[in-house]
Amino acid sequence: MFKINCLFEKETGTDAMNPLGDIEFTDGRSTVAVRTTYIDSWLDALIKSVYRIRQGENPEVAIPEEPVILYMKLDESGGVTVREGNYAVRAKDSLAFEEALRVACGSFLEGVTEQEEAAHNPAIREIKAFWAMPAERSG
Amino acid sequence: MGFTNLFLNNNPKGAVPLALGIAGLSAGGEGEELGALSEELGESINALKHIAKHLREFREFEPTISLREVIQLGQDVAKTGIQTGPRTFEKSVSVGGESVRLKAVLNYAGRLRSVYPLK
Repeated sequence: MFKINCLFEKETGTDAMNPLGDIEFTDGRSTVAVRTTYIDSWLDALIKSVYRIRQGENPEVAIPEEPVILYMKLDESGGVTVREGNYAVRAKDSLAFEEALRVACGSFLEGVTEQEEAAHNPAIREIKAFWAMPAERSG
Repeated sequence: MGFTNLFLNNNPKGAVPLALGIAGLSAGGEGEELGALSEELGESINALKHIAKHLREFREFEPTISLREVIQLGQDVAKTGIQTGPRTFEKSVSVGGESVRLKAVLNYAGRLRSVYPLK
């Protein structure tokens, strides 16, 4: 089962203005991960990629804080692959990817929404809007 | 099982006991305490910890460069560089005698979030 996990930094605590941690993509066989990174920026970028995948594009996902690019590809059988270098994970279809992203957004929001600074972080507002919207209406 | 760490933390999880707290956190054995450095430079501990991950990219140019020096470079790029996006700035600076193009990224409060060399 395809999953996206957001893991906040345990040592320094959650900071809604600089939410640092790891983001992991796993399909049960492989994992692609970005460590010690800004989770809000990745989720925001992934949400934008969902809309592009729906339009049949194969988006490159990047955030300004990192030099890395994640390559996303919609294959002929409808699966969505997330690739970096020689490593890749695959969601069975775009809905499975979206559902995993929505769960990751919910998990992330649980960690930051109580913080006053969350209101001043526009990425968190985008994540909240995506998370709150039912899958069939979020396009 | 395939596995990749795109960016391994310089300070592997578990290397610093939680009981040490923020004051005891160092930038991956760099000998610079993040708490003190955060207070001195006015940047968040999470930003420092993230930037510490990019230290090795700077050390390709200058093997002895410290986290403090990298953060100060980032602050300079954000202050005097060319704005390339809503929160991003770029500037060529000298690192280890080489001219290196750096990208600095601010958070939504205008403080440093990241800085790294562009390739």
